[in-house]
Amino acid sequence: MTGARLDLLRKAAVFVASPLVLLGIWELCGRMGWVDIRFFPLPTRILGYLIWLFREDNLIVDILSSMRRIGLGLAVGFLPGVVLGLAMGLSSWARLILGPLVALTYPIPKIAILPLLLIIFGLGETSNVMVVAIGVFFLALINTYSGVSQIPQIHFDVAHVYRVRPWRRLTHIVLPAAFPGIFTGLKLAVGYGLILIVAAEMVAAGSGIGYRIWTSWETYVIIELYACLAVISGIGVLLSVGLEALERVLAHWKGA
Amino acid sequence: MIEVPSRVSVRDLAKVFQDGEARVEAFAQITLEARPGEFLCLVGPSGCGKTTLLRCLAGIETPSAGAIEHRLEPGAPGAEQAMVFQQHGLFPWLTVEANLHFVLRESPVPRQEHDAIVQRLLERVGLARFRRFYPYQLSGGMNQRVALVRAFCVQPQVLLMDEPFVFLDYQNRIVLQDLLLELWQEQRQTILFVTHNINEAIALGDRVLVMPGTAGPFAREISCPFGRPRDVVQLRTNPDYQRIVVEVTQLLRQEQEHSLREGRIG
Repeated sequence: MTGARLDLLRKAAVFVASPLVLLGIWELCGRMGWVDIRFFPLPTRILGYLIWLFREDNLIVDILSSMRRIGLGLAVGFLPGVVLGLAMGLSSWARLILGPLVALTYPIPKIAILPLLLIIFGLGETSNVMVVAIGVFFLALINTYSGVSQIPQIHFDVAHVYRVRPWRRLTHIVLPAAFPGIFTGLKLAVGYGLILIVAAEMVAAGSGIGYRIWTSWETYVIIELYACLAVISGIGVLLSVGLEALERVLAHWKGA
Repeated sequence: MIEVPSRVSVRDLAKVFQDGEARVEAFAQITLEARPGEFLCLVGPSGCGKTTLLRCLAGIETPSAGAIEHRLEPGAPGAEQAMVFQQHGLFPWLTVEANLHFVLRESPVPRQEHDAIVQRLLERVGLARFRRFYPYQLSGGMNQRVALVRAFCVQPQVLLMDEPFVFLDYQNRIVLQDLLLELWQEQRQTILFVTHNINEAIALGDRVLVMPGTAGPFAREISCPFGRPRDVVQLRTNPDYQRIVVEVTQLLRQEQEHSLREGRIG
């Protein structure tokens, strides 16, 4: 085995071992009675409960409905964000017009808009999807804009000299050149979507991971709270690993 | 000698950059003529506006005053112009051959000839094997060779070159200079080649124009009567070549001192 591969293997082992060691310490503390297991249930018990939730309590249905809302929110909010981000990156007029609007609305925590959405769209799927859509819209816009502004001038000079037509300039130069920025926006948007949907579901949904967390709190099933947090953490890791892999395939030309 | 109308004609060109109160004059009163098929080099002290002049000719910058006229040959098959930059400027998301096809598609060169042109030119510069490679997989010298091919593949009538070899090491610079002369010998377009490297300008050009350090018309025009094809390395033993290098160096030194006195260049 080569040194580089061994090194990679060692890093992977540490990556897995690090959280396991922490869980082990937690387990030990619980078993020795050093922490109150009413508030900090044993990790092995949480795992058992999690398996039971999947087997007997349809946890997968809640996971899927949360994921569906994130997906729909991305579908509705991301593309408009990219389009306006491109406009702001390419046109000083668009920057002038949209700049102050973005500066004023971006700092609002998007979850704070939820009550308003509930009034407009009613208590249901649309409100949940819209809160995600609004959140990811800003991340798409800001990261696309930043991606476009970082395009080296030489690409535009080449486009000019070789008479690249405006539409092709947009689709074949600006978009691929800004792609790393747009993809950063997507990675942030997925993470933010997860945060928003869990928060929204606590008050505005009858299903989903956030809804489950809220009902566990209401019924005081602390171990289910932990199981739900573990699920969210797992989803987050899977999505981020998946997106990293996708980025390596799509932006392989960066050569990193 | 028969009077041939010039291919590129520049009259009283000036460029001023205005940024609020600050007013920076890149160059003024530039007048030059480049004949069809001529290899014209422009040298000048740093900050004299060489690059800006070329960018005006390319249409990337708009001149503040004066006129540029391209008298193109009607019915010529290729593009009006092409440009090679200091950086290769290849699109990193496209392979070598895709970069070439991309500009060919925008050019008037007939579609059915594209494949053959790309193949032939890449072979010419020894990169046929690398046609599916991405820019990040190639060295700086190889990428600049691709950039050179990109300019020639659209068969431009006017080729603008802005210190294209400035970032290359000595060996690569010689290789690229040879390739440039070979490719030009086949197509014989008008080349305007900007450099601060006096040896390079004299070895490559038919004529060398020395740009003034301060705003004003060209300080001097020197012709390089060495015949073609040339060997850019062999040329160094030529006493005429050596004499001209010294002459141009002196001229540039005067210009540099002049502009320092005027306090124009940092």
